[in-house]
Amino acid sequence: MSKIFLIAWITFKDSIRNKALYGIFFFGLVLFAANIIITGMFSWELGKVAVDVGLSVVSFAGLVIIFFLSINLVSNDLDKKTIYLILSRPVSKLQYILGKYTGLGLIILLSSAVLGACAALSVKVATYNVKGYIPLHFSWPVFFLGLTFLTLSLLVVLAIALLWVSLTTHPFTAVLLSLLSYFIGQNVENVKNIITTGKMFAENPTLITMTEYVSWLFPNLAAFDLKTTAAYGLSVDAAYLMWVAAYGLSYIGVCLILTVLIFQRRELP
Amino acid sequence: MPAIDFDDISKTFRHGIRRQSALKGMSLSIHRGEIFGFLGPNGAGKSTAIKVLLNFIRPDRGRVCVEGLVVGKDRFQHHIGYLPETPCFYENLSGLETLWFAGKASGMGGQDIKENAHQVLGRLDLKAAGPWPVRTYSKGMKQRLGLAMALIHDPEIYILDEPMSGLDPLGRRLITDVILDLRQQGKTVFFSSHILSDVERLCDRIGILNKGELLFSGAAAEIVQDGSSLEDAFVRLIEDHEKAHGV
Repeated sequence: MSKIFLIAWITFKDSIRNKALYGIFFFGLVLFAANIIITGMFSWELGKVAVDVGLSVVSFAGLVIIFFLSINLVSNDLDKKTIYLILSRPVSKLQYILGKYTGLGLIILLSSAVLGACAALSVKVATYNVKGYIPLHFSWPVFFLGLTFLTLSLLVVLAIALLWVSLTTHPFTAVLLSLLSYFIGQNVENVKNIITTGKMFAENPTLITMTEYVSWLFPNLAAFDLKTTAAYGLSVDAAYLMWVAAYGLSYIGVCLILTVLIFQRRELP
Repeated sequence: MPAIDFDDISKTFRHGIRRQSALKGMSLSIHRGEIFGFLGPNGAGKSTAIKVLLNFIRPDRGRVCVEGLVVGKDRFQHHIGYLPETPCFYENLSGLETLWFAGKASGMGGQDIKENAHQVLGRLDLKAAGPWPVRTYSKGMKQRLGLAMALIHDPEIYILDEPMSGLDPLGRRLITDVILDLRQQGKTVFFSSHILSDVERLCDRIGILNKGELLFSGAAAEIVQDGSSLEDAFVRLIEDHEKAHGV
């Protein structure tokens, strides 16, 4: 366990000093300023717009960190052979993968915490003088619940990205496949509903079966999206949220197990 | 029991549909306490042999043992210190943090790491650069930091892949002195190099590899004929081997 935390520590420390991360944070802060301006352009439902934009920026920054920083960092270990200096010591490939995931996951958590606080501030500023436009039941706990589930969805995407890195030999391919998985994951539930319940595809059992398989294979990322709930302050079903959290953690677990199994078979020439 | 034992190692790489043999039944034993120079032209299979030894790649046939422990089956890494040909680091960490990581990963305690890091950085002329981020290091400094990582946990066996590559004469002298120190301490050093004068000066025994085949293993004096140098003997051996194979 201590070796996993050791790898996590150097991954976190190396990433936190990466100038690209500061660029992403700065870009996030600019978008929050934009949130205040964008919200000002609306004459109704200001609270919903502010919450929507705020949480979307946190999600966007997290995705940029995964696709352009995390994948690059792990691929660099393999391409530049930095991994030789780790695996030539009593560190297993299992410890390496779990350590990398933990370190990069901590960066995602930090990003969500910092940008989430900024998002909350931007919502507060954008709706400061417009009490009438804030949804009646809006509550900060639900807002932060939305932020938590958004972060969990980012951790799921990070696990998928690591899986693609272990399967491919070029970071660009890993980025493309991770992006593809993300877009499928965001839309899989809607597409499945259209295909399985609509009359249009009723006579195409192959398509229905294929959609079922795809929906099992890719994560249902829409399930983690509580932006609307947070924006309107809708009531949340605790049991449903528990299931979503268990689903997310299980998906991460399966991805990491597969990554470790693939990585243990992979040679490092 | 030898410190390192390659037993009938073969390895083939696939390039598309083409298969290329990198090692062909290589058997070689490195004794405890000796400095062994591993020589061969570019593409001879030296780095492949080292990667098999470190379990980075799996042999198609044969097995490698380190201190009697089977590579790929037993945990052997605590016995070795490794310097890759072009060491790459986490560039945003400092030299000291890098050594701290290396020590911790090798199972050392905090106080031991502190003492050894201080000593090793001093020995390799990197004391002042210890707190600097690795990204500010020159190529020679990175090579020396790589060696510091191999030395920090004071292992019994050192595997150094081209330790002198890209170093200026002062850097080469420093590394040479470190290897001689290790000999005095009774450590085993297995290193590959192109610089034959260094090999001739440092090594108790040498191995010459060409196209995946071990052509010679023994004391350098056994191969050097009267009046000729190790370089002459090396070139002659490689040319004879290539002629015999019609290259």
